[in-house]
Amino acid sequence: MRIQRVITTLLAMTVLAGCTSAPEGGDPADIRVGDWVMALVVSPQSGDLSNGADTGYLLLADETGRTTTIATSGMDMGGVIWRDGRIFFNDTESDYVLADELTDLPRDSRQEYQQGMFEVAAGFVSVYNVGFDDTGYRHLVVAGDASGTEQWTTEGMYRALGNCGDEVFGISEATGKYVASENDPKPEVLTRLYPPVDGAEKVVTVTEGPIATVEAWSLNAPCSEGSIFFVSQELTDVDAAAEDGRPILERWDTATGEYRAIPLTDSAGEELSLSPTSVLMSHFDQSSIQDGIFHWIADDKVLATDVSTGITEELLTVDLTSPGNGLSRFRFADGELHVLDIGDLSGESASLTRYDLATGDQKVRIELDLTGVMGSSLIPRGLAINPDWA
Amino acid sequence: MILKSSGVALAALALIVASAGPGLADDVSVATAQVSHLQDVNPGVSQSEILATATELAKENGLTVDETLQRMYDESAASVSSATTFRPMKEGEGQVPLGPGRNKGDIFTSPASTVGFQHGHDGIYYNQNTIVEAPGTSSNSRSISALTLMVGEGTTKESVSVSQTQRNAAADYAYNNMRGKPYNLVFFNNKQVPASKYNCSQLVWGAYLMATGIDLDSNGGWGVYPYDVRNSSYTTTYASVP
Repeated sequence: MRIQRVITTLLAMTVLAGCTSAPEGGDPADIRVGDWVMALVVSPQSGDLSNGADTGYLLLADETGRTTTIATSGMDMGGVIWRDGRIFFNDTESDYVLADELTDLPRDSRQEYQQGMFEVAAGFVSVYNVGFDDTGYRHLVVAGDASGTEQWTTEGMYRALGNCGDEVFGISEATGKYVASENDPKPEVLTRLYPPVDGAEKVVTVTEGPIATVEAWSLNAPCSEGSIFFVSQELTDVDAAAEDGRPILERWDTATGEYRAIPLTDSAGEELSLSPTSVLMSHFDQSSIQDGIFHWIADDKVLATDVSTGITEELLTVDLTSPGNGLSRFRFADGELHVLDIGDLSGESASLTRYDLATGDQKVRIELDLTGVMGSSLIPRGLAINPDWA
Repeated sequence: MILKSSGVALAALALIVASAGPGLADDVSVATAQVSHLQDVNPGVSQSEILATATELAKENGLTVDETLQRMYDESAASVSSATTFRPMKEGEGQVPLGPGRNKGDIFTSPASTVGFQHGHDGIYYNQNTIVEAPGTSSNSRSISALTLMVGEGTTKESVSVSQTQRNAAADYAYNNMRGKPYNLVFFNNKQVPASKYNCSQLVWGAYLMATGIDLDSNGGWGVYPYDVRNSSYTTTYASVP
């Protein structure tokens, strides 16, 4: 476990000399966090970062659609957290805190792919996907705030991550030291990544056998009453095709390690009529569960699932230029859903809309021009909304 | 388009290659055109390495160096020709999410180009919703989500005509043997497994060869390219993205 102290502040904006499509940006020292309502991470993908791509952005937008950017070195799947007047983000070299000034928190290793990012009382927890090594699979955990960070590695190839209160948990097929036999189907391991124990993860449970499911993107899964929930397809066996099986909510009790599969049905008790692809490409986040209801988006439909019964109803249809294009971003909040609709990678057709989940009304809509920031090699990733934006 | 060995055809190719970008040799011999093409499709590989490989293969196979270079060129050009069903991407278009595969061990083939040559990219699904990428010498190989990976339009997903147990073994072989291995820049002579370094199609081909005994190189020769794997009689395309 390494403790890194802050070594620089006031990161200067880098102008892309000679690049006519450089986005409009400014000195981070001049940015007042409270003036903005949306933060978006834009980055090359990890394969491009490994082959020399070195520029990404944190884009900020205000209520009028005006934008500004902070250039970074990129972070694929980079998350962003906005809390207490501070924005937490990262790139291949550092974690950052943007407040009255920009604090640079260098890591002791370059990373290119963020697996998850979480808000905790002490600040933030970032989980980076390091990859295979000779003995298993590694992630790097970085936790801290503007005053400094701690870093340690964990064993696991996480298919789901979530935080319950001030603890961050991961669910992984057994790797490395958790594998009893290479030739047998591997069990699942639920571990607590943060806070660490002796600089490593703490095991909550190892299942008796494999769990035959394939999950939607679940690396920012919500927690309710100490259990992490996420959407999956439950297969007939571990080797079955993803097309087979039924949609479920996976529920993992972080205290006992108990696993439950909750079938998703309509109000008549019939299996939810969604294609496996729609299930697996669905969206949800750490704020999806409100009052025992799991909110998620499949295609352009916002769905509400009772976590105790699995009964699911359709709440509303969101206005998307190109549903399923993989570019639009979503953030749930108390009774609301923010949709960043991005039509294509040109960035010409983009808007931020706030929906009231109870009524389906569009409460706010901001037209955005993201040209200059996006392109076929720059992908929109993490989205955060100013919690103080009324 | 495959050019046969003729002075007129190769002279024409030399003009085409010269306009395509860097890598044109100072040597104006007939073999220069083939070497230049191979350099363009295998960026980072030097002319001397290409000629050294050709010399070695010529000796092993009882051929002249020119004959060997022509075969290497023919294989490469056939792969590029096979990839021309993909249109080059322009800014603001052409990136879509790869999405889930049907089974562990399935293969995807996506557009990739270098200096205007479309040669494609292969990958194996480690499970139904993750693939493993081999970033190269500076990073470990890692499992990443296929659900959020953006690929070019026209990317295809293939299943291999073997049992699921064999597909699992191929996927496991691929990723157990990718650990810490650097990237092989050479496609024209990459059919080695086990190897000290791998590129994408070599890894897919090698994994299935070692795990199942089947050869996924549809046109034989010394190099296996991404579209050689997609075009194999053992693979069946079941989806195209989008």
